[in-house]
Amino acid sequence: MDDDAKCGRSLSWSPSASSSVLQERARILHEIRDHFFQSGVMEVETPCWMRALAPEPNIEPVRSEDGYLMSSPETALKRLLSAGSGSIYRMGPVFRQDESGTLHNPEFTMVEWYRVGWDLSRLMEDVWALVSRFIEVPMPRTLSYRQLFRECVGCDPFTAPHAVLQKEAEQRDVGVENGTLVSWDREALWDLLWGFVVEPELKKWSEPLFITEFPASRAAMSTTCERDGVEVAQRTELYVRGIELANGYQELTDALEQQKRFELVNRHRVRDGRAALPVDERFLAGLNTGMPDCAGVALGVDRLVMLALELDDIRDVIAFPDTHV
Amino acid sequence: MLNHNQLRQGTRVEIGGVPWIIVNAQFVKPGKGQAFTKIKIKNLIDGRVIERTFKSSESVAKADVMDTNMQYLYNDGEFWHFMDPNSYEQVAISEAQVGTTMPWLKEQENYQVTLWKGKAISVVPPAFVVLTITECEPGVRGDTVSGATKPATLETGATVKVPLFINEGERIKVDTRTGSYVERAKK
Repeated sequence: MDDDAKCGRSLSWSPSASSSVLQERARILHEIRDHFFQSGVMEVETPCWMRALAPEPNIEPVRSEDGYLMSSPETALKRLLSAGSGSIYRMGPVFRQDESGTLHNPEFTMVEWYRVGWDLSRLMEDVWALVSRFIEVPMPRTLSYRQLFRECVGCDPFTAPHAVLQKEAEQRDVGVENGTLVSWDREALWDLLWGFVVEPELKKWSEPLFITEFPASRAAMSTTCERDGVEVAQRTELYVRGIELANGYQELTDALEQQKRFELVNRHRVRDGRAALPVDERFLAGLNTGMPDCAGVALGVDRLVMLALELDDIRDVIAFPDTHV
Repeated sequence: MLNHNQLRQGTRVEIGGVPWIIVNAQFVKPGKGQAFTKIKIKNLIDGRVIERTFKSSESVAKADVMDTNMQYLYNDGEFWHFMDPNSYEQVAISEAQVGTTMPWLKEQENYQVTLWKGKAISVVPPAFVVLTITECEPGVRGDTVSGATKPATLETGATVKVPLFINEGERIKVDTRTGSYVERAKK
C-alpha cells in the first residue's frame, strides 16, 4: 500500500465510464452522424480556441493565454451560414468554467446544427426524430415558459409582483436563508424557482417536453415576438425526464439588434463585477452581410447518452470527466 | 472565502457563526439561467442537518477548524480527555461530541480531534484499529470458508460480527468506518 502510494499506483488511472457504456456512446455518436448524413446536413469543424465570442450573462468561458476555449461553436457556424454553407452541423467539445455536477462537466460534447429555410417548429420535429432514435418515451408535449411556470409554481412569472415570487420560493424551502430573497432581482427568482421547483416537477413527467416562448431577456441569439402582451424569445428547450437536453432558436439575422444585445450583456457583466468579454466582430460582420433565415439547436450529447442508457451521473458516460483529469 | 464551485462534500464552512461540514453538494443551472449550489450541511457542534442554496456570485466563509492527532487519556464520568503528544496540551470533549466514536475509544491510542477556534468539537477514530475480544462464543476450528459469523464484544465495548473460527482473547483488526471485521491482527 505504502509502496504503491509512493510511485502513484494508488492513483485512480482508469476511465470513469465503463467500457460497455463507451461502446454504446460510440454507437450513438455514429448514429447522430448518420442522421445528418441521411438528411443532407454537412458536417463542419470549428475552432475550440477563439479570440472573441458571443457574450452570455450566465456562461463563463474558460480563459486561455490570449483567448478562450469556446463555450459554443455558434459564431463560427453562423459565419459559415453567412458564407452560404447551407445546412450544417458540428459535433465536438465545448468548455464552460465552473460547471461541474451530476449533469455538468466543464468540458462536454455538443452537437449543434442549423437548418436553412426552416422555422422553429419544423426544427423541433427534427430534434425529436433524432432523440427518439435513442430514447423510448411518448411523444413530447409543448408548453410555453409562462404556462409551465404557472402550472408548477402557481403564479405568473411576468405579472406576479416580486413579493409573490419571493413568497413562492420561501414556502417551498429551497434552502435560501430567510430575508435574503428581498435583494434578489426578478430573474434570479425565476431561476431559483425553475431550478428547485419546475425542474424537479418535470422529473415526474413521463412525456418529454418542448418549452417555448422564454422571457425576451433570455433571447440571446434568437428572434423575439409578442405573445399575450409580453415580448418573448422564439426559443425552445427540450426536457426529457427532467433533464434539459437541447436548446433551439429561430435565429436572429439582424446584426444591429445582435450587437445591442451583446453590449447589454457586457454592461450587466461589468455592473455585477465581472469582466466584459470581447465580442466576435467577424461574426457580426458576416451577419451584417446577410445570414439566411434558419433555425438552429444545440444538444448535449453526454446527457443524451445518460438518458439512452438510464444513467444518473454524467461521469458515468465520459471516459475522463473533471474528476479524472 | 469559498466561491460556489469550491463547495464540495467534506468541506467545512462557517455559517451563522458556527462550523458545518458539507455532506452533499448539488450544482443546479437551468439553461440560460444563473447557477446555484445547494448544500446539505451538518452542524459540527450539535449534529443538526440543514440545506442552504447559494447563487454563483455568493461566497461562503471557510470554517476555522484544524484536525490534530491526540491521545485519548481517560473519562471522568462527564468528559473525555485527550492530549496533544507534542505540546502536552489537554482538551475535554462532551459525550455528544464523542458521538459514534465512543465504542472505539481505547486509552493511550491516537485519534483525530477537530478543533474549532482552539476548542475541541469532534473526534474521529483511525480507519483501522486493533482490539482484543473480551467476549464471544468458542471458536469452531477449521471453519474458514462457510462465511458464517457470530457477534463478538471488544475491549472498548463495541460489538462486531466475526468469523466462527475466532476466539475470545484474540486481537482483531476492525474497520471503524463500517464497524466490520477485517482480519486477525498480526502477532
